[in-house]
Amino acid sequence: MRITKEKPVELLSKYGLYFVLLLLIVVSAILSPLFFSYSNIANLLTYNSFTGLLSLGMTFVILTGGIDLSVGSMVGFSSILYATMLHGAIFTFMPDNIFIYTGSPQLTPLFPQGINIVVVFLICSVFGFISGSISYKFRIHSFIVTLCFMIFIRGLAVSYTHGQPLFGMPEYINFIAYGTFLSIPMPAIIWLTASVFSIFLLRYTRFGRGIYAVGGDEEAARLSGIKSAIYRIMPFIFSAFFASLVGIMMSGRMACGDPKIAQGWELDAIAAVVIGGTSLFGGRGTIGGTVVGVLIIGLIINIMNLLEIDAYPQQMVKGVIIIAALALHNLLSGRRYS
Amino acid sequence: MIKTFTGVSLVKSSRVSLGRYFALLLLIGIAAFMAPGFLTLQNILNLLRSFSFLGFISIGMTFVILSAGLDLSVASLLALCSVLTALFQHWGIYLGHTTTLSYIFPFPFILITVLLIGSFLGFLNGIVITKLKITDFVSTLGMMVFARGLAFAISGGRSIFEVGAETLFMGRGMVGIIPFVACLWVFAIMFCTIVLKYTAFGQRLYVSGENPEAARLSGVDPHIYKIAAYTISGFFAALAGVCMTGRLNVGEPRVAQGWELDAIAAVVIGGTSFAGGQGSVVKTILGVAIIGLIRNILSLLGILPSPQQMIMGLVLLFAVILQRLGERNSD
Amino acid sequence: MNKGVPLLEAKGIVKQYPGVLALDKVDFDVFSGEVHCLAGENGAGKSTLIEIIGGSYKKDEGTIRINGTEVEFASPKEAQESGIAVLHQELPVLPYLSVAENIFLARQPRNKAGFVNYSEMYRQARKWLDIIQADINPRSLLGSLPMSKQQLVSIAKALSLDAKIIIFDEPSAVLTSVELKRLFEIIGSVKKEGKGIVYISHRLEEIFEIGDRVTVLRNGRLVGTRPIEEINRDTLIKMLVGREISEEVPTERKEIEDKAVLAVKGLCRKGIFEDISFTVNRGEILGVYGLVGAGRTEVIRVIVGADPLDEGEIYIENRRVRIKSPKDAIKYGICLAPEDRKQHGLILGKSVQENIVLPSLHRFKRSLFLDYGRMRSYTRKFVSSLRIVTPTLSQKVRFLSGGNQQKVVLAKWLGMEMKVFIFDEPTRGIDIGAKEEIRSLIRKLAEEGRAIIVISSEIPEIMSLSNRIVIMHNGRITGCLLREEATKEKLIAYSMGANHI
Repeated sequence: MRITKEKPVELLSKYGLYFVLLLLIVVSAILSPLFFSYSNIANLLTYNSFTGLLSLGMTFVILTGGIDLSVGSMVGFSSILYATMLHGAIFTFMPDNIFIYTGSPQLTPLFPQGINIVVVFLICSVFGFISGSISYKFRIHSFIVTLCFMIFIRGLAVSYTHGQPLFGMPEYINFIAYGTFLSIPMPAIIWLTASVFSIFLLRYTRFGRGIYAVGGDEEAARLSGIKSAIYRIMPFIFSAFFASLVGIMMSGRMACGDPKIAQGWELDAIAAVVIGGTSLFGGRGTIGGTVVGVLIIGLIINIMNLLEIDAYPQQMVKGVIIIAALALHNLLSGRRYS
Repeated sequence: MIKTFTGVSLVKSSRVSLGRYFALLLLIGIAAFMAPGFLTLQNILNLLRSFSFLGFISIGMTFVILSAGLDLSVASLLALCSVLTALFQHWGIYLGHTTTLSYIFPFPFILITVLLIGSFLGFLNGIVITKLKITDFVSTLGMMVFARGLAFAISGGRSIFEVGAETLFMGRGMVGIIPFVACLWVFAIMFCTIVLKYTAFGQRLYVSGENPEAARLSGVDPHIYKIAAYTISGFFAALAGVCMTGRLNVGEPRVAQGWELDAIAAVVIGGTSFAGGQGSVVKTILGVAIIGLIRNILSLLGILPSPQQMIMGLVLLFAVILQRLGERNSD
Repeated sequence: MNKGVPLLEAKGIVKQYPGVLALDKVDFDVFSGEVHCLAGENGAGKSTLIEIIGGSYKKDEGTIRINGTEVEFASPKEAQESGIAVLHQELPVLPYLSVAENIFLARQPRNKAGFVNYSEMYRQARKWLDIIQADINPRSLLGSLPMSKQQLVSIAKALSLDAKIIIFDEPSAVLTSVELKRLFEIIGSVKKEGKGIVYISHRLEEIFEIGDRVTVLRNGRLVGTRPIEEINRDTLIKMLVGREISEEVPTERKEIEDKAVLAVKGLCRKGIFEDISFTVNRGEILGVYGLVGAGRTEVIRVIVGADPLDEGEIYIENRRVRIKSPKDAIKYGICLAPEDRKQHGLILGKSVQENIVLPSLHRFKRSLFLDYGRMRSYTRKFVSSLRIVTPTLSQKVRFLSGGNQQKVVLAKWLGMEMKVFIFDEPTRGIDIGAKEEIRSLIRKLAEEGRAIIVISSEIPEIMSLSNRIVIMHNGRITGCLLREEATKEKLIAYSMGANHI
């Protein structure tokens, strides 16, 4: 396999992403003088940190040539799972008031605080492990496997409370969802920390380099002594982990566990990764690009809100953006994504 | 050595497809056992009708998957066409005629227009995929979000109630004792089977799905066949949309959510390969029947929609794994 | 000859696949400081043996000893750690990672904290590349290098792994003479350091040039291991095929009508080739020789409309034609048997019949439908005339042998009154016996008055087939020789870029 030397247009496509981001910031600033206000920036970061976290996990998966459609369902599942853990009493008797918002809920945690979260992480990671393993073991494209899991996990989440949210969250979850540190919103801090961690993992560890190698050409990686199983499966565990993190954060923001949240978020995450320049073929792409991709989508939605465009046409615009972004990539680089 | 290999492959692949028929028979047995009225002619005809809607889009999906593509936009196109069908019959809605029907033009033209719009959006999918060179998965994902958004935008998110008698006939009408949609569906199955098997178009579609580059070097332009497959898929989504509107007597932007997955499941359970170039419409019908029967039995068991969803997820997963194991053995 | 304990000793290796015995009690050994060639036709078991030694496949029976100690490899990594490096024919590489990272994949130098140390990695990569005098920047993306340099990177990698045994799996299939010569120099110097080299090749001249010993496999059995000085070309061929055949039949020179069927003028595709002009006459076989990467395949891809043309003119029977797609080319009577048969020439999962009728499907229409009866008799005609060995017409071509697959590719075009046949490496990956059959089919086509272009990297093949030979270097034509004036030396000189000799 041989690739051609970088042409000037490719350089443009390489940095075009940052240029687009800059352009969107300028447009936003012109449209609204309040754009650079603290509250607007803080809001923008907070709202995008959820998609941001999901797309981090998604980047790992896509770098190995896979895709994870189950993250949206996983967010809903972890949200309701976490709420259930907090309402351990649900297992012995069904309290009347847990489906009703009472303001000061009675919590009956199953395990000591903190352990509950770990258990949620573990259970979700196991789901990630299973879907990754099935895809790897049977050589079925992860698109199909995670599609099955997307249906299955959402069904599971919605089934056992009949789709009802479970109210009541402890104080520290409230802090994770609404608190600030050095006047930066906590969700944004979590997102940015996780991003820096992911960048570091991918660039400076053998594991990270192995992800690029396996995603680039599994056979070449294998002949270099890389066992591909772990590199194929781990990204799904990461992805499920980040999804469960988002689920818990979302529970905090809504003060309830809701199995129906985050429908279709997997698409936003994939869109961000793809706009960020990661190849769906695997083996090429960066976390930095993904972060920029998330911000680009976030800013476009922000601008549409500023322009007071209704929610439905916004959805249409989102569809067009995904295609337009990829088309632009292809036109500039003359390469094919598939 | 060659003979041994093919011998093995024949045995294995026939065992896998026999397994599908066996699964279907088993499901029919279970259903007949659970509901005594199941095997009556009337019930079978009713089932046939209930299969038709998913059946239409599964036919379109078969063409797309044979061309090595994947169409995630079918359910959204169906919803958009449902809204359009109803809207064209309530054109006066903008003039305040909310209760009475007011056709924009006579029904045949409405039908043709809606089918054309569906086909055109499918065609657009094909163009984006082949000319802008964006993966099938992502392009149709874009179309899925776009078409659903458009359906909501033009209906303002509301259902448009009541449609004309012709539309009602398409969804509910009977030809003798046979539901009209079922007739239409069976006709579509036969027509598409003949097209795929006995025309140059069909042969070339198979070939360009399995190996586009080799097809191109043999003078077959794979892009044309891919675009055609998506256009056909859009056409069937629109047809299903019109029939669905008649069945529900409402133009509904929320209709058929997640049906693209059922259609994909039907095609895969039927045994059409994702790699393109291998499979048939008849196989898909088997898949549609299996999925339809599972849903039917789960409903008979009184299982609610969301646990049903869970079970469908598992069924699809097992079907895919079994298919994969079958393919592996035959390779 | 170096005696004592061999570096590598494989004894009684057996490998069974469902329905076929791939290796039947094969012995093989390599001593320090020797080049041991491994030869055999396709399917003889060479690759299976190498994959077992390299740890990719598991053996069913037998023992492998490294320096006298018995080993059992569960993965390529374990074989690597025991000092075995396999340089695969198709060179699986990671084009989007740097040269250095390809060399140090999965064992990147790390700092004390356990993180990848990039500057150290580049420095070490530089060191190994310098050892084999490769002028390659360790930071550049591997995919931006030509094939031959990618091969050098693999050698640097093998050396950096401190491999004691380096296995070259048919390197000549991707390199051409000049690059091969360079490779032989490197092999020579590596050999002097006391490493054991295993060199796999079909090409006899290479074996005699570089080998110290040769082992021949046939149908999974060991035919024999001989020191190279004890055998000659004829005995080796006899060992390979089990019977004596003459490898090359010289073309009988007959008068070529001076009637141009295909003429191209000033063809150019930016950055790949430029100013390509040649003519092919009725009944003539035009050979195209050049190094891999010289642009031969790219030129013919433009002629058959597979890639767009930037500049230049194409004439069919003195009429200017515009070819925008393979469909246009077929309309004008130009067809191609591509280099990558399995990917570009055939639809592997479809039957012999479906493949053969593919380009001519439109002829079998009866009103809207296809006439299966006529398609069958059409296919049967070519299956028997080309002697395609297949149990039935509905056999998937995936299960045919390389030679029969090539015949299916040919059959696709035979019934269509094509004027120009282009063959890109027509006998690559085909057994010696079947090779000659394909060559005689090509000659027969020429006798029937078609114009033929043959691209080949094998000098003997191109000399035996062609009436004229065009030589390309770096995207340009550097020479055009008549069969009578062509010599091996001239071809090599032109292909290296010499304009005058």
